[in-house]
Amino acid sequence: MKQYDNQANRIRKEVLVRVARAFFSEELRAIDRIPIDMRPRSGESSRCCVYKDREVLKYRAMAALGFGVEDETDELTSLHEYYEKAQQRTCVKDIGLTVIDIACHACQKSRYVITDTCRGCLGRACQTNCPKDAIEIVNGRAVIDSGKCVDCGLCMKACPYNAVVRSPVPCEEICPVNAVSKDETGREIIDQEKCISCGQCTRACPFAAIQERSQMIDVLGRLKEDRPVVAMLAPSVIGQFPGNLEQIITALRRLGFDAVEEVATGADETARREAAEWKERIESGDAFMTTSCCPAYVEAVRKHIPEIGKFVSHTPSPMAISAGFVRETSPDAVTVFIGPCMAKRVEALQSSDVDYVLTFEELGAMLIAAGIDVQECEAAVIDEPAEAAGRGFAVSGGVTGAIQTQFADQENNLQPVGFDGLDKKALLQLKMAATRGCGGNFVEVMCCEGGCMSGPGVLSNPKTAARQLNALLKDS
Amino acid sequence: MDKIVDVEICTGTTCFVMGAGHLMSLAEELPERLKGSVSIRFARCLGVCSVPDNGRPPFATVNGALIENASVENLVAACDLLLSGEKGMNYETV
Ligand code: SF4
Ligand code: SF4
Ligand code: FES
Repeated sequence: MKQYDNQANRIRKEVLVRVARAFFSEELRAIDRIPIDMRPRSGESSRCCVYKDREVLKYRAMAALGFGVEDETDELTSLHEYYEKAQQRTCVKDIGLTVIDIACHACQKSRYVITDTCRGCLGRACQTNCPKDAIEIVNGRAVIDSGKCVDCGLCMKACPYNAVVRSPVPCEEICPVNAVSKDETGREIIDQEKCISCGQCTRACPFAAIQERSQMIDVLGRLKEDRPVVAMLAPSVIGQFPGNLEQIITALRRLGFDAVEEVATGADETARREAAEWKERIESGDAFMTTSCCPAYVEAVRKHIPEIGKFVSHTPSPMAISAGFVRETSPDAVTVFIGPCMAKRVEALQSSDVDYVLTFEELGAMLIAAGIDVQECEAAVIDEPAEAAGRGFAVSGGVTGAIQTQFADQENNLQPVGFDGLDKKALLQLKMAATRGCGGNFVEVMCCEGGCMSGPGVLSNPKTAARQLNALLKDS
Repeated sequence: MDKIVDVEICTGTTCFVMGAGHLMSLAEELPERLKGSVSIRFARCLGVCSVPDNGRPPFATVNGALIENASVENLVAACDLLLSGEKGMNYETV
Protein backbone atom coordinates (compact mmCIF):
# COMPACT_ATOMS: atom_id res chain seq x y z
CA MET A 1 0.00 0.00 0.00
CA LYS A 2 1.26 3.44 -0.87
CA GLN A 3 2.22 5.98 1.72
CA TYR A 4 2.24 9.62 0.90
CA ASP A 5 4.55 11.00 3.54
CA ASN A 6 7.82 12.43 2.32
CA GLN A 7 9.64 15.75 2.52
CA ALA A 8 8.21 17.01 -0.77
CA ASN A 9 4.68 16.39 0.45
CA ARG A 10 5.41 18.02 3.79
CA ILE A 11 6.56 21.18 2.02
CA ARG A 12 3.33 21.24 0.05
CA LYS A 13 1.35 20.96 3.29
CA GLU A 14 3.42 23.66 4.95
CA VAL A 15 2.51 26.06 2.14
CA LEU A 16 -1.18 25.32 2.69
CA VAL A 17 -0.80 26.02 6.40
CA ARG A 18 0.99 29.30 5.75
CA VAL A 19 -1.65 30.42 3.27
CA ALA A 20 -4.42 29.59 5.76
CA ARG A 21 -2.51 31.47 8.48
CA ALA A 22 -2.28 34.53 6.28
CA PHE A 23 -6.04 34.30 5.84
CA PHE A 24 -6.71 34.25 9.58
CA SER A 25 -4.21 36.97 10.40
CA GLU A 26 -5.56 39.13 7.58
CA GLU A 27 -1.95 40.03 6.96
CA LEU A 28 -1.95 40.29 3.22
CA ARG A 29 1.77 40.84 2.99
CA ALA A 30 2.40 37.65 4.94
CA ILE A 31 1.39 35.84 1.81
CA ASP A 32 4.10 37.46 -0.26
CA ARG A 33 6.63 36.46 2.36
CA ILE A 34 5.86 32.74 2.23
CA PRO A 35 8.63 31.79 -0.22
CA ILE A 36 11.17 33.93 1.63
CA ASP A 37 10.17 32.73 5.08
CA MET A 38 10.37 29.12 3.98
CA ARG A 39 13.70 29.56 2.23
CA PRO A 40 15.66 32.30 3.99
CA ARG A 41 18.87 33.37 2.33
CA SER A 42 20.95 31.93 5.13
CA GLY A 43 19.27 28.55 5.04
CA GLU A 44 19.69 25.42 3.00
CA SER A 45 18.21 24.97 -0.44
CA SER A 46 16.77 21.80 -1.87
CA ARG A 47 17.55 22.71 -5.46
CA CYS A 48 20.43 24.66 -6.97
CA CYS A 49 19.81 27.71 -4.78
CA VAL A 50 17.26 29.30 -2.47
CA TYR A 51 16.08 31.55 -5.29
CA LYS A 52 14.88 28.68 -7.40
CA ASP A 53 13.27 27.09 -4.35
CA ARG A 54 11.43 30.35 -3.71
CA GLU A 55 10.17 30.45 -7.26
CA VAL A 56 8.77 26.93 -6.89
CA LEU A 57 7.23 27.88 -3.55
CA LYS A 58 5.51 30.83 -5.17
CA TYR A 59 3.79 28.47 -7.60
CA ARG A 60 2.89 26.15 -4.73
CA ALA A 61 1.31 29.07 -2.92
CA MET A 62 -0.55 29.98 -6.10
CA ALA A 63 -1.91 26.42 -6.26
CA ALA A 64 -2.89 26.69 -2.61
CA LEU A 65 -4.84 29.80 -3.63
CA GLY A 66 -6.50 27.89 -6.43
CA PHE A 67 -4.39 29.05 -9.37
CA GLY A 68 -2.31 26.99 -11.76
CA VAL A 69 0.92 27.88 -13.50
CA GLU A 70 -1.29 28.28 -16.58
CA ASP A 71 -3.07 31.21 -14.93
CA GLU A 72 0.10 33.27 -14.82
CA THR A 73 0.03 36.03 -17.40
CA ASP A 74 2.60 38.26 -15.78
CA GLU A 75 5.44 36.90 -13.68
CA LEU A 76 5.38 40.08 -11.62
CA THR A 77 1.91 39.40 -10.26
CA SER A 78 2.47 38.92 -6.57
CA LEU A 79 0.94 36.36 -4.29
CA HIS A 80 -1.21 38.92 -2.53
CA GLU A 81 -2.72 39.90 -5.86
CA TYR A 82 -3.61 36.25 -6.46
CA TYR A 83 -5.00 36.15 -2.95
CA GLU A 84 -7.24 39.12 -3.70
CA LYS A 85 -8.40 37.50 -6.90
CA ALA A 86 -9.16 34.31 -5.00
CA GLN A 87 -11.28 36.28 -2.57
CA GLN A 88 -13.44 37.49 -5.43
CA ARG A 89 -14.11 34.04 -6.79
CA THR A 90 -17.70 32.99 -6.18
CA CYS A 91 -17.64 29.51 -7.62
CA VAL A 92 -15.16 26.89 -8.70
CA LYS A 93 -14.60 26.49 -12.41
CA ASP A 94 -11.16 25.10 -12.95
CA ILE A 95 -10.06 21.93 -11.21
CA GLY A 96 -7.37 20.68 -13.56
CA LEU A 97 -4.09 19.67 -11.94
CA THR A 98 -1.21 22.02 -12.60
CA VAL A 99 2.37 21.04 -13.31
CA ILE A 100 4.94 23.35 -11.77
CA ASP A 101 7.30 23.16 -14.69
CA ILE A 102 10.35 24.61 -12.99
CA ALA A 103 10.05 21.99 -10.27
CA CYS A 104 9.75 19.22 -12.81
CA HIS A 105 12.70 19.37 -15.15
CA ALA A 106 14.72 16.83 -13.26
CA CYS A 107 13.35 13.54 -14.54
CA GLN A 108 14.79 12.13 -17.71
CA LYS A 109 12.55 10.21 -20.02
CA SER A 110 12.01 6.77 -18.55
CA ARG A 111 14.67 4.51 -19.91
CA TYR A 112 17.03 1.63 -19.37
CA VAL A 113 20.47 2.54 -18.09
CA ILE A 114 23.60 0.45 -17.78
CA THR A 115 25.17 1.05 -14.40
CA ASP A 116 28.68 0.82 -13.00
CA THR A 117 28.06 -2.82 -12.20
CA CYS A 118 28.68 -3.65 -15.89
CA ARG A 119 31.85 -5.76 -16.16
CA GLY A 120 32.11 -5.35 -19.92
CA CYS A 121 31.99 -9.15 -19.96
CA LEU A 122 32.82 -11.52 -22.71
CA GLY A 123 29.34 -13.02 -22.90
CA ARG A 124 27.68 -9.74 -23.89
CA ALA A 125 24.22 -11.12 -23.21
CA CYS A 126 22.83 -7.58 -23.44
CA GLN A 127 24.16 -7.05 -26.92
CA THR A 128 23.10 -10.49 -28.11
CA ASN A 129 19.56 -10.05 -26.82
CA CYS A 130 18.98 -6.50 -28.01
CA PRO A 131 16.69 -6.71 -31.03
CA LYS A 132 17.56 -3.19 -32.19
CA ASP A 133 21.32 -3.32 -32.06
CA ALA A 134 21.26 -0.46 -29.58
CA ILE A 135 24.11 -1.59 -27.35
CA GLU A 136 27.72 -0.66 -28.01
CA ILE A 137 30.76 -1.28 -25.91
CA VAL A 138 32.56 1.94 -25.06
CA ASN A 139 35.72 1.88 -22.94
CA GLY A 140 35.04 -1.65 -21.86
CA ARG A 141 31.47 -0.98 -20.79
CA ALA A 142 28.11 -1.44 -22.42
CA VAL A 143 26.23 1.73 -23.35
CA ILE A 144 22.69 2.07 -24.69
CA ASP A 145 22.13 4.25 -27.72
CA SER A 146 18.90 5.97 -26.74
CA GLY A 147 18.12 6.75 -30.36
CA LYS A 148 17.83 3.08 -31.17
CA CYS A 149 16.46 1.76 -27.85
CA VAL A 150 12.78 0.80 -27.93
CA ASP A 151 12.42 0.23 -24.16
CA CYS A 152 11.83 -3.51 -24.43
CA GLY A 153 13.96 -4.33 -21.38
CA LEU A 154 15.45 -7.51 -22.81
CA CYS A 155 18.98 -6.40 -21.90
CA MET A 156 17.93 -5.96 -18.29
CA LYS A 157 16.62 -9.50 -18.16
CA ALA A 158 19.71 -10.84 -19.89
CA CYS A 159 22.54 -9.30 -17.88
CA PRO A 160 23.94 -11.84 -15.40
CA TYR A 161 25.34 -9.01 -13.22
CA ASN A 162 22.02 -7.14 -12.95
CA ALA A 163 23.89 -4.17 -14.35
CA VAL A 164 20.92 -2.80 -16.29
CA VAL A 165 18.27 -0.83 -14.45
CA ARG A 166 15.13 0.85 -15.57
CA SER A 167 14.88 4.45 -14.45
CA PRO A 168 11.21 5.37 -14.50
CA VAL A 169 9.43 8.72 -14.44
CA PRO A 170 7.30 8.26 -11.32
CA CYS A 171 4.28 10.31 -12.42
CA GLU A 172 4.09 8.63 -15.82
CA GLU A 173 4.59 5.27 -14.21
CA ILE A 174 1.70 5.59 -11.79
CA CYS A 175 -0.87 7.18 -14.10
CA PRO A 176 -3.36 4.43 -14.96
CA VAL A 177 -4.44 6.08 -18.19
CA ASN A 178 -1.18 7.41 -19.69
CA ALA A 179 -2.31 10.98 -19.27
CA VAL A 180 1.11 12.28 -18.20
CA SER A 181 3.88 12.66 -20.72
CA LYS A 182 6.77 14.92 -21.62
CA ASP A 183 6.49 17.76 -24.09
CA GLU A 184 9.36 18.76 -26.40
CA THR A 185 11.07 20.71 -23.64
CA GLY A 186 11.09 17.78 -21.27
CA ARG A 187 8.49 18.99 -18.83
CA GLU A 188 5.53 16.86 -17.94
CA ILE A 189 2.13 17.82 -19.24
CA ILE A 190 -1.21 16.34 -18.33
CA ASP A 191 -3.61 15.56 -21.11
CA GLN A 192 -6.92 16.70 -19.65
CA GLU A 193 -8.80 14.65 -22.24
CA LYS A 194 -7.33 11.52 -20.71
CA CYS A 195 -6.90 12.46 -17.03
CA ILE A 196 -9.38 10.87 -14.63
CA SER A 197 -8.35 13.14 -11.74
CA CYS A 198 -7.36 10.26 -9.49
CA GLY A 199 -4.53 12.38 -8.09
CA GLN A 200 -2.03 9.53 -7.92
CA CYS A 201 0.57 11.51 -9.87
CA THR A 202 0.46 14.40 -7.41
CA ARG A 203 1.66 12.11 -4.66
CA ALA A 204 4.00 9.98 -6.75
CA CYS A 205 6.19 12.85 -7.94
CA PRO A 206 9.22 13.04 -5.62
CA PHE A 207 9.43 16.78 -6.32
CA ALA A 208 5.70 17.31 -5.68
CA ALA A 209 5.70 19.15 -9.00
CA ILE A 210 2.10 18.27 -9.80
CA GLN A 211 -0.33 20.14 -7.64
CA GLU A 212 -4.05 20.38 -7.27
CA ARG A 213 -5.73 23.77 -7.26
CA SER A 214 -6.97 24.13 -3.74
CA GLN A 215 -10.42 25.39 -2.83
CA MET A 216 -9.37 26.10 0.74
CA ILE A 217 -9.41 29.89 0.40
CA ASP A 218 -12.87 29.77 -1.14
CA VAL A 219 -14.23 27.73 1.76
CA LEU A 220 -12.52 29.95 4.34
CA GLY A 221 -14.17 32.93 2.65
CA ARG A 222 -17.62 31.30 2.77
CA LEU A 223 -17.15 30.49 6.46
CA LYS A 224 -16.86 34.21 7.20
CA GLU A 225 -20.08 35.07 5.39
CA ASP A 226 -23.65 34.81 6.62
CA ARG A 227 -24.85 31.89 4.54
CA PRO A 228 -24.82 28.62 6.44
CA VAL A 229 -21.97 26.29 5.47
CA VAL A 230 -22.38 22.55 5.85
CA ALA A 231 -19.44 20.15 6.05
CA MET A 232 -20.01 16.69 4.62
CA LEU A 233 -17.40 14.35 6.06
CA ALA A 234 -16.40 11.33 3.99
CA PRO A 235 -16.56 7.92 5.70
CA SER A 236 -12.77 7.72 5.38
CA VAL A 237 -12.35 10.50 7.95
CA ILE A 238 -11.80 7.85 10.61
CA GLY A 239 -8.16 7.80 11.62
CA GLN A 240 -7.30 10.95 9.65
CA PHE A 241 -7.10 13.18 12.70
CA PRO A 242 -6.22 12.66 16.31
CA GLY A 243 -9.27 12.28 18.52
CA ASN A 244 -12.54 10.63 17.60
CA LEU A 245 -15.30 11.45 15.13
CA GLU A 246 -17.27 13.38 17.75
CA GLN A 247 -14.27 15.60 18.47
CA ILE A 248 -13.60 16.19 14.79
CA ILE A 249 -17.19 17.40 14.43
CA THR A 250 -16.64 19.91 17.22
CA ALA A 251 -13.39 21.03 15.59
CA LEU A 252 -15.27 21.70 12.34
CA ARG A 253 -17.91 23.71 14.18
CA ARG A 254 -15.17 25.77 15.78
CA LEU A 255 -13.77 26.47 12.34
CA GLY A 256 -17.14 27.99 11.52
CA PHE A 257 -19.15 25.23 9.86
CA ASP A 258 -22.79 25.51 10.83
CA ALA A 259 -23.51 21.81 10.55
CA VAL A 260 -21.53 18.63 9.98
CA GLU A 261 -22.99 15.64 8.19
CA GLU A 262 -21.56 12.15 7.99
CA VAL A 263 -21.49 11.11 4.34
CA ALA A 264 -21.64 7.56 5.69
CA THR A 265 -25.36 8.25 6.10
CA GLY A 266 -25.57 8.92 2.37
CA ALA A 267 -23.58 5.73 1.87
CA ASP A 268 -26.23 3.76 3.77
CA GLU A 269 -28.81 5.08 1.31
CA THR A 270 -26.50 4.36 -1.66
CA ALA A 271 -26.26 0.77 -0.42
CA ARG A 272 -30.05 0.39 -0.17
CA ARG A 273 -30.66 1.80 -3.64
CA GLU A 274 -27.73 0.04 -5.24
CA ALA A 275 -28.85 -3.32 -3.86
CA ALA A 276 -32.33 -2.79 -5.31
CA GLU A 277 -30.89 -1.68 -8.62
CA TRP A 278 -28.58 -4.68 -8.76
CA LYS A 279 -31.45 -7.09 -8.12
CA GLU A 280 -33.55 -5.51 -10.83
CA ARG A 281 -30.72 -5.51 -13.36
CA ILE A 282 -29.70 -9.11 -12.77
CA GLU A 283 -33.31 -10.25 -12.92
CA SER A 284 -33.69 -8.48 -16.24
CA GLY A 285 -30.73 -10.42 -17.61
CA ASP A 286 -27.69 -8.15 -17.13
CA ALA A 287 -24.47 -10.08 -16.70
CA PHE A 288 -23.19 -7.85 -13.91
CA MET A 289 -23.29 -4.38 -12.43
CA THR A 290 -20.38 -2.29 -11.24
CA THR A 291 -20.36 0.27 -8.46
CA SER A 292 -20.41 3.99 -9.23
CA CYS A 293 -19.25 5.66 -6.02
CA CYS A 294 -15.63 6.19 -7.10
CA PRO A 295 -15.60 9.19 -9.45
CA ALA A 296 -12.15 8.37 -10.80
CA TYR A 297 -13.52 5.04 -11.96
CA VAL A 298 -16.58 6.74 -13.45
CA GLU A 299 -14.28 9.12 -15.32
CA ALA A 300 -12.18 6.18 -16.49
CA VAL A 301 -15.28 4.53 -17.89
CA ARG A 302 -16.36 7.68 -19.66
CA LYS A 303 -12.97 8.47 -21.15
CA HIS A 304 -11.32 5.10 -21.62
CA ILE A 305 -13.61 2.11 -21.38
CA PRO A 306 -16.99 3.31 -22.64
CA GLU A 307 -17.89 -0.27 -23.51
CA ILE A 308 -18.48 -0.96 -19.84
CA GLY A 309 -20.63 2.14 -19.38
CA LYS A 310 -23.92 0.30 -19.49
CA PHE A 311 -22.88 -1.93 -16.59
CA VAL A 312 -22.18 0.98 -14.21
CA SER A 313 -24.78 1.54 -11.52
CA HIS A 314 -26.98 4.65 -11.83
CA THR A 315 -27.28 4.99 -8.08
CA PRO A 316 -25.87 8.33 -6.94
CA SER A 317 -22.70 8.28 -4.84
CA PRO A 318 -22.82 8.77 -1.07
CA MET A 319 -21.57 12.33 -1.56
CA ALA A 320 -24.37 13.11 -4.02
CA ILE A 321 -27.03 11.62 -1.77
CA SER A 322 -25.77 13.42 1.32
CA ALA A 323 -25.59 16.70 -0.56
CA GLY A 324 -29.16 16.10 -1.76
CA PHE A 325 -30.31 15.66 1.85
CA VAL A 326 -28.62 18.90 2.84
CA ARG A 327 -30.15 20.83 -0.07
CA GLU A 328 -33.60 19.58 0.87
CA THR A 329 -33.37 20.73 4.45
CA SER A 330 -31.38 23.91 3.95
CA PRO A 331 -31.63 25.00 0.32
CA ASP A 332 -29.45 28.08 0.71
CA ALA A 333 -26.57 26.34 2.49
CA VAL A 334 -23.08 26.14 1.01
CA THR A 335 -22.08 22.48 0.85
CA VAL A 336 -18.49 21.36 1.34
CA PHE A 337 -17.44 17.75 0.88
CA ILE A 338 -14.35 16.86 2.89
CA GLY A 339 -12.54 13.68 1.95
CA PRO A 340 -9.33 12.09 0.71
CA CYS A 341 -10.26 12.36 -2.94
CA MET A 342 -9.32 14.58 -5.85
CA ALA A 343 -11.71 12.99 -8.31
CA LYS A 344 -14.62 14.12 -6.13
CA ARG A 345 -13.81 17.59 -7.45
CA VAL A 346 -14.90 16.44 -10.88
CA GLU A 347 -18.07 14.90 -9.52
CA ALA A 348 -18.82 18.07 -7.54
CA LEU A 349 -18.32 20.24 -10.60
CA GLN A 350 -20.97 18.21 -12.41
CA SER A 351 -23.39 18.33 -9.49
CA SER A 352 -25.40 21.36 -8.47
CA ASP A 353 -25.63 20.08 -4.90
CA VAL A 354 -21.94 20.13 -3.98
CA ASP A 355 -20.28 23.54 -3.92
CA TYR A 356 -16.76 22.77 -2.73
CA VAL A 357 -14.45 19.83 -2.14
CA LEU A 358 -11.64 19.86 0.39
CA THR A 359 -9.10 17.16 1.12
CA PHE A 360 -8.21 16.09 4.65
CA GLU A 361 -4.89 17.82 4.04
CA GLU A 362 -6.59 21.12 3.39
CA LEU A 363 -8.85 20.71 6.40
CA GLY A 364 -5.76 19.87 8.45
CA ALA A 365 -4.05 23.05 7.28
CA MET A 366 -7.13 25.08 8.23
CA LEU A 367 -7.22 23.55 11.72
CA ILE A 368 -3.52 24.22 12.28
CA ALA A 369 -3.84 27.80 11.12
CA ALA A 370 -6.90 28.38 13.30
CA GLY A 371 -5.07 26.87 16.28
CA ILE A 372 -7.69 24.17 16.83
CA ASP A 373 -6.40 20.99 18.43
CA VAL A 374 -8.87 18.17 17.80
CA GLN A 375 -7.93 16.32 20.98
CA GLU A 376 -8.79 19.41 23.01
CA CYS A 377 -12.29 19.56 21.53
CA GLU A 378 -15.20 18.20 23.50
CA ALA A 379 -17.14 15.37 21.88
CA ALA A 380 -20.19 16.44 19.89
CA VAL A 381 -23.37 14.42 20.05
CA ILE A 382 -24.18 12.76 16.74
CA ASP A 383 -27.96 12.83 16.41
CA GLU A 384 -28.30 10.21 13.75
CA PRO A 385 -25.13 8.17 13.53
CA ALA A 386 -24.52 6.31 10.29
CA GLU A 387 -24.70 2.54 10.18
CA ALA A 388 -21.59 0.39 10.16
CA ALA A 389 -22.26 -0.54 6.53
CA GLY A 390 -22.12 3.07 5.35
CA ARG A 391 -19.02 3.84 7.40
CA GLY A 392 -17.37 0.82 5.82
CA PHE A 393 -17.43 2.45 2.35
CA ALA A 394 -14.04 3.93 3.25
CA VAL A 395 -12.13 0.74 2.52
CA SER A 396 -12.03 -1.64 -0.41
CA GLY A 397 -14.64 -4.31 0.08
CA GLY A 398 -16.80 -1.91 2.06
CA VAL A 399 -19.39 -1.32 -0.63
CA THR A 400 -19.62 -5.05 -1.25
CA GLY A 401 -20.06 -5.60 2.47
CA ALA A 402 -22.87 -3.04 2.59
CA ILE A 403 -24.66 -4.71 -0.32
CA GLN A 404 -24.26 -8.10 1.33
CA THR A 405 -25.81 -6.67 4.48
CA GLN A 406 -28.81 -5.59 2.40
CA PHE A 407 -29.36 -9.17 1.29
CA ALA A 408 -28.38 -10.77 4.59
CA ASP A 409 -31.75 -12.36 5.25
CA GLN A 410 -32.79 -12.95 1.66
CA GLU A 411 -32.19 -15.65 -0.86
CA ASN A 412 -29.72 -14.18 -3.37
CA ASN A 413 -27.03 -15.13 -5.82
CA LEU A 414 -24.73 -12.20 -5.23
CA GLN A 415 -21.30 -13.02 -6.60
CA PRO A 416 -19.01 -10.15 -5.71
CA VAL A 417 -15.74 -9.35 -7.47
CA GLY A 418 -13.50 -6.49 -6.50
CA PHE A 419 -11.05 -4.27 -8.32
CA ASP A 420 -8.90 -2.95 -5.51
CA GLY A 421 -7.00 -0.19 -7.25
CA LEU A 422 -7.25 0.88 -10.85
CA ASP A 423 -4.04 0.38 -12.76
CA LYS A 424 -3.36 -0.23 -16.43
CA LYS A 425 -3.96 -3.96 -16.01
CA ALA A 426 -7.26 -3.53 -14.16
CA LEU A 427 -8.48 -1.18 -16.89
CA LEU A 428 -7.75 -3.81 -19.49
CA GLN A 429 -9.54 -6.47 -17.48
CA LEU A 430 -12.58 -4.22 -17.12
CA LYS A 431 -12.55 -3.52 -20.83
CA MET A 432 -12.64 -7.23 -21.53
CA ALA A 433 -15.34 -7.77 -18.91
CA ALA A 434 -17.76 -5.87 -21.14
CA THR A 435 -17.84 -8.77 -23.56
CA ARG A 436 -16.56 -11.71 -21.58
CA GLY A 437 -17.85 -10.99 -18.09
CA CYS A 438 -15.59 -10.98 -15.07
CA GLY A 439 -16.47 -13.99 -13.01
CA GLY A 440 -19.02 -12.27 -10.81
CA ASN A 441 -22.19 -10.24 -10.99
CA PHE A 442 -21.47 -7.45 -8.54
CA VAL A 443 -18.26 -5.59 -9.30
CA GLU A 444 -16.78 -3.13 -6.84
CA VAL A 445 -14.22 -0.77 -8.34
CA MET A 446 -12.03 1.48 -6.25
CA CYS A 447 -9.43 3.55 -8.05
CA CYS A 448 -7.19 3.78 -5.00
CA GLU A 449 -5.67 0.53 -3.81
CA GLY A 450 -7.12 -0.12 -0.37
CA GLY A 451 -10.05 2.19 -1.03
CA CYS A 452 -10.55 5.83 -0.13
CA MET A 453 -8.46 5.43 3.02
CA SER A 454 -5.50 5.37 0.66
CA GLY A 455 -6.77 8.31 -1.36
CA PRO A 456 -4.30 11.05 -2.29
CA GLY A 457 -5.58 13.50 0.33
CA VAL A 458 -5.16 11.32 3.43
CA LEU A 459 -3.06 12.22 6.43
CA SER A 460 -2.58 8.80 7.97
CA ASN A 461 -1.05 5.49 7.26
CA PRO A 462 -3.90 3.53 5.60
CA LYS A 463 -3.17 0.46 7.71
CA THR A 464 -3.59 2.20 11.04
CA ALA A 465 -6.59 4.14 9.78
CA ALA A 466 -8.26 0.92 8.67
CA ARG A 467 -7.66 -0.57 12.10
CA GLN A 468 -9.36 2.38 13.75
CA LEU A 469 -12.24 2.07 11.35
CA ASN A 470 -12.69 -1.60 12.20
CA ALA A 471 -12.78 -0.74 15.89
CA LEU A 472 -15.47 1.87 15.24
CA LEU A 473 -17.51 -0.46 13.05
CA LYS A 474 -17.72 -2.97 15.88
CA ASP A 475 -19.79 -0.51 17.88
CA SER A 476 -21.58 1.32 15.07
CA MET B 1 21.40 -5.46 30.15
CA ASP B 2 19.10 -4.68 27.29
CA LYS B 3 18.78 -0.97 26.82
CA ILE B 4 15.37 0.44 25.95
CA VAL B 5 14.99 3.69 24.06
CA ASP B 6 11.92 5.74 24.78
CA VAL B 7 10.28 7.35 21.74
CA GLU B 8 7.42 9.74 22.21
CA ILE B 9 5.55 10.90 19.13
CA CYS B 10 3.43 14.03 19.26
CA THR B 11 -0.08 13.53 17.94
CA GLY B 12 -1.30 17.05 18.51
CA THR B 13 -3.20 18.29 15.44
CA THR B 14 -0.25 20.24 14.03
CA CYS B 15 2.15 17.32 14.24
CA PHE B 16 -0.44 14.76 13.17
CA VAL B 17 -1.37 16.66 10.03
CA MET B 18 2.21 17.44 9.09
CA GLY B 19 3.25 13.80 9.15
CA ALA B 20 2.79 12.13 12.53
CA GLY B 21 -0.32 10.47 11.12
CA HIS B 22 2.06 8.38 9.07
CA LEU B 23 4.18 7.56 12.12
CA MET B 24 1.37 5.82 13.99
CA SER B 25 2.65 2.54 12.61
CA LEU B 26 6.27 3.18 13.59
CA ALA B 27 6.38 0.00 15.68
CA GLU B 28 5.76 -2.10 12.57
CA GLU B 29 8.25 -0.20 10.50
CA LEU B 30 11.18 -0.54 12.86
CA PRO B 31 14.03 -2.62 11.46
CA GLU B 32 14.41 -6.05 13.11
CA ARG B 33 17.50 -4.97 15.03
CA LEU B 34 15.48 -2.38 16.93
CA LYS B 35 12.36 -4.40 17.66
CA GLY B 36 12.14 -5.03 21.38
CA SER B 37 14.50 -2.20 22.26
CA VAL B 38 12.24 0.73 21.51
CA SER B 39 9.23 1.75 23.52
CA ILE B 40 6.83 3.98 21.61
CA ARG B 41 4.32 6.34 23.19
CA PHE B 42 1.97 8.84 21.64
CA ALA B 43 1.55 12.21 23.27
CA ARG B 44 -0.82 15.14 23.13
CA CYS B 45 0.63 18.41 21.80
CA LEU B 46 4.14 18.63 23.27
CA GLY B 47 3.77 22.38 23.24
CA VAL B 48 6.77 23.00 21.04
CA CYS B 49 4.90 23.61 17.76
CA SER B 50 4.02 27.19 18.62
CA VAL B 51 7.66 28.32 18.65
CA PRO B 52 9.10 28.53 15.12
CA ASP B 53 12.66 28.19 16.44
CA ASN B 54 11.93 24.63 17.50
CA GLY B 55 11.86 23.61 13.85
CA ARG B 56 9.26 21.96 11.71
CA PRO B 57 6.53 19.62 12.91
CA PRO B 58 6.00 16.71 13.38
CA PHE B 59 7.93 16.57 16.64
CA ALA B 60 9.01 13.58 18.65
CA THR B 61 11.38 12.96 21.51
CA VAL B 62 13.90 10.17 21.76
CA ASN B 63 15.00 9.63 25.38
CA GLY B 64 13.79 13.14 25.99
CA ALA B 65 15.75 14.81 23.18
CA LEU B 66 13.57 16.76 20.76
CA ILE B 67 13.52 15.70 17.11
CA GLU B 68 11.98 18.05 14.58
CA ASN B 69 10.59 17.00 11.19
CA ALA B 70 10.34 13.49 12.61
CA SER B 71 10.25 10.62 10.16
CA VAL B 72 10.71 6.88 10.35
CA GLU B 73 14.24 7.40 9.07
CA ASN B 74 15.43 10.00 11.55
CA LEU B 75 13.75 8.29 14.49
CA VAL B 76 15.40 5.00 13.60
CA ALA B 77 18.74 6.78 13.25
CA ALA B 78 18.33 8.40 16.67
CA CYS B 79 17.47 5.06 18.28
CA ASP B 80 20.46 3.38 16.68
CA LEU B 81 22.74 6.09 17.90
CA LEU B 82 21.52 5.75 21.47
CA LEU B 83 21.60 1.97 21.49
CA SER B 84 25.02 1.45 20.02
CA GLY B 85 26.67 4.80 19.82
CA GLU B 86 26.92 4.20 16.11
CA LYS B 87 24.93 5.38 13.15
CA GLY B 88 22.34 2.93 11.83
CA MET B 89 24.41 1.97 8.83
CA ASN B 90 27.19 0.49 10.93
CA TYR B 91 25.05 -1.10 13.56
CA GLU B 92 24.98 -4.56 12.05
CA THR B 93 28.75 -4.81 12.09
CA VAL B 94 29.22 -3.57 15.64
S1 SF4 C 1 -4.61 12.56 -11.84
FE1 SF4 C 1 -4.52 10.34 -12.27
S2 SF4 C 1 -5.28 10.17 -14.35
FE2 SF4 C 1 -4.75 12.31 -14.08
S3 SF4 C 1 -2.65 12.49 -14.80
FE3 SF4 C 1 -2.54 12.12 -12.60
S4 SF4 C 1 -2.32 9.89 -12.37
FE4 SF4 C 1 -3.04 10.29 -14.49
S1 SF4 D 1 -11.04 5.13 -4.35
FE1 SF4 D 1 -11.99 6.76 -3.16
S2 SF4 D 1 -10.40 8.33 -2.89
FE2 SF4 D 1 -9.72 6.99 -4.55
S3 SF4 D 1 -10.41 8.01 -6.41
FE3 SF4 D 1 -12.01 6.51 -5.83
S4 SF4 D 1 -13.45 7.67 -4.55
FE4 SF4 D 1 -11.57 8.89 -4.73
S1 FES E 1 1.13 19.46 17.94
FE1 FES E 1 3.05 18.52 18.22
S2 FES E 1 4.10 19.97 19.45
FE2 FES E 1 2.14 20.84 19.24
